[in-house]
Amino acid sequence: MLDFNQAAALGQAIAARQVSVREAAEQSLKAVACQKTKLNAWITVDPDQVLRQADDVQRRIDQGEAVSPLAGVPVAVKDNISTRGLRTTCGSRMLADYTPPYDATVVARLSRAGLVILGKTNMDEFAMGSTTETSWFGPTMNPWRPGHVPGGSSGGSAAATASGQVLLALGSDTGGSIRQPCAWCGLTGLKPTYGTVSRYGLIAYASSLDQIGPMALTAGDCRILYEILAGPDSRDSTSLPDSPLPADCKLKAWTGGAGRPLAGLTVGCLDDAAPVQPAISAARAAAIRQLEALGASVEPLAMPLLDEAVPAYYLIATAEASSNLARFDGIRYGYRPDDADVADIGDYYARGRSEGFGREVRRRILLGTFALSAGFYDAWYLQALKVRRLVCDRYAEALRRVDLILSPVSATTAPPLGASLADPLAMYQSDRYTVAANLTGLPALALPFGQDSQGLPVGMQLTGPSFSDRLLLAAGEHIQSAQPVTHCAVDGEVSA
Amino acid sequence: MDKKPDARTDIERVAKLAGLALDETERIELEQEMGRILDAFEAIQTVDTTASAPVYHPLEQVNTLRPDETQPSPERSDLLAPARCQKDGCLFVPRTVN
Repeated sequence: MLDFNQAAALGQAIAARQVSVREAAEQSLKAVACQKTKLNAWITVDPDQVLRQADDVQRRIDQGEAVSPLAGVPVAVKDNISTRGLRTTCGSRMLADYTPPYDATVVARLSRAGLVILGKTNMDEFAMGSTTETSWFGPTMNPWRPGHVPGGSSGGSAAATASGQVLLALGSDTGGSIRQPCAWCGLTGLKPTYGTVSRYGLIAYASSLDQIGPMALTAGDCRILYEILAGPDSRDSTSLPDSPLPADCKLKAWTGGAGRPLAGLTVGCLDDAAPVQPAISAARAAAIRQLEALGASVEPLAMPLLDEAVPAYYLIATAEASSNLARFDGIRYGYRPDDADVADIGDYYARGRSEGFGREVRRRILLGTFALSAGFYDAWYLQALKVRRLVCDRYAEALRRVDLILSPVSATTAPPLGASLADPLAMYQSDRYTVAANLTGLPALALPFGQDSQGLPVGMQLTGPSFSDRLLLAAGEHIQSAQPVTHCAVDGEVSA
Repeated sequence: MDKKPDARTDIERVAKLAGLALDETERIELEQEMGRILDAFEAIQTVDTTASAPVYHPLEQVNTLRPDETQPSPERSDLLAPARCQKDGCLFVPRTVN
């Protein structure tokens, strides 16, 4: 966008009056219009509202108001994050006409920092999916290879950012929904430590797992955006005070060294026998070489219970979803069916919910309702919560031995459109490497690491202890200082 | 203790609890899909969790509460704006009591 591929550089140019906020916004709007049909990355963009915001931010800058290093930079917001006066659908027919009367805390913080909300990005319905194919508004395409999915559920944010329509985006991550689309679209994305970014205004999928986080081309841009987003919020009772790393955390003493900035870090590389595509193995080997070249010590790390973490995750997530989505009954919230011939109120609720929710959401509500139902609760939901305890314990033990954990984000690169929907169980199991960070609340960073033979991006993941978000991003910046990352133009040309 | 909703009546029971209406085709398909998913998810039944306390939430802390002081709240008209139908300053909804 405007020959900038990093938000920090665009922010500097705006601050230096080399580029106006309106020029930046118009350039993004032009890219959105050009790529709308090809990628379907957006659900709602209101150009008039965007330009009004741009002019307002320009006025604030001109008046010398303290804004932020990203003032004037357009940003994409996933469509499950509430925006006052701008439709927020969650990718669902259920909320197709909903315009929130308030801003999510993260949106208010973006506005206060002077960023321009460009619009709302496509997503899997209620964030339930890994491909952005379950949206009521149609699937989003991967800009690197249209015909392949961008990942999900934050696939619209990923596609819009990877194609350079914007340089920054917000996603939400319940089981990998920031990290996996970042990996499949060649981006950097952070699932923050649970509680460090407010969830106020995020339409809930699974409240004990959901986190909002930054997506961008580089870790440097993610870091600047994270600083705007993070911090306590009195409107979110699970929001944490700005907690430092615990005193006994080895990472606390990490300072790096000249030429070897990761010296002193021990990285455990997930030692896992599960099959991955050759490109993923190659990326893992490249990541190890790069970490070692930067001074880190890398050692194999066995991590039990990966196979069991996926079912535990899905039972917990769907149980919470079945409760969170109960409010969408056509009376209090959501799609209201024609009531001409309903037998009773129960029939009315069921009709509205069945017409308003798509197939994947209905499937997950059923699974969660089953896991919570009398006679099955102990064997499924409670057992899943106990497995969650074991997963937390294993990660805590591992992070006492090593500073960071390196793993793939996904066993594959982005599949063709339609391939995942045909087999929901396979789609669930593809979350093998991402769900643990949500079960444990740990921060995890997806970083691009090369491409497969078809030119589709590969991502690797670094997981750290709670509250190591800034250190993870700093490590990512060091890695990317030695390895440039690229946008993908939709015409197939790659811009460095 | 039962672990799987194998019978058709179980899918019907769960759908009713979930407030969902399934047509015959979808009921058959979902029954098969749920059975397959739960077969795969049985892996967690083999994990020894006898010494494990359940984790309901990643933060093992009491909810953070703000001081009990009056704060500005949204305008009534703003809150009513998204409503499909309003009457006399109230939400107007379909009849919920027969």
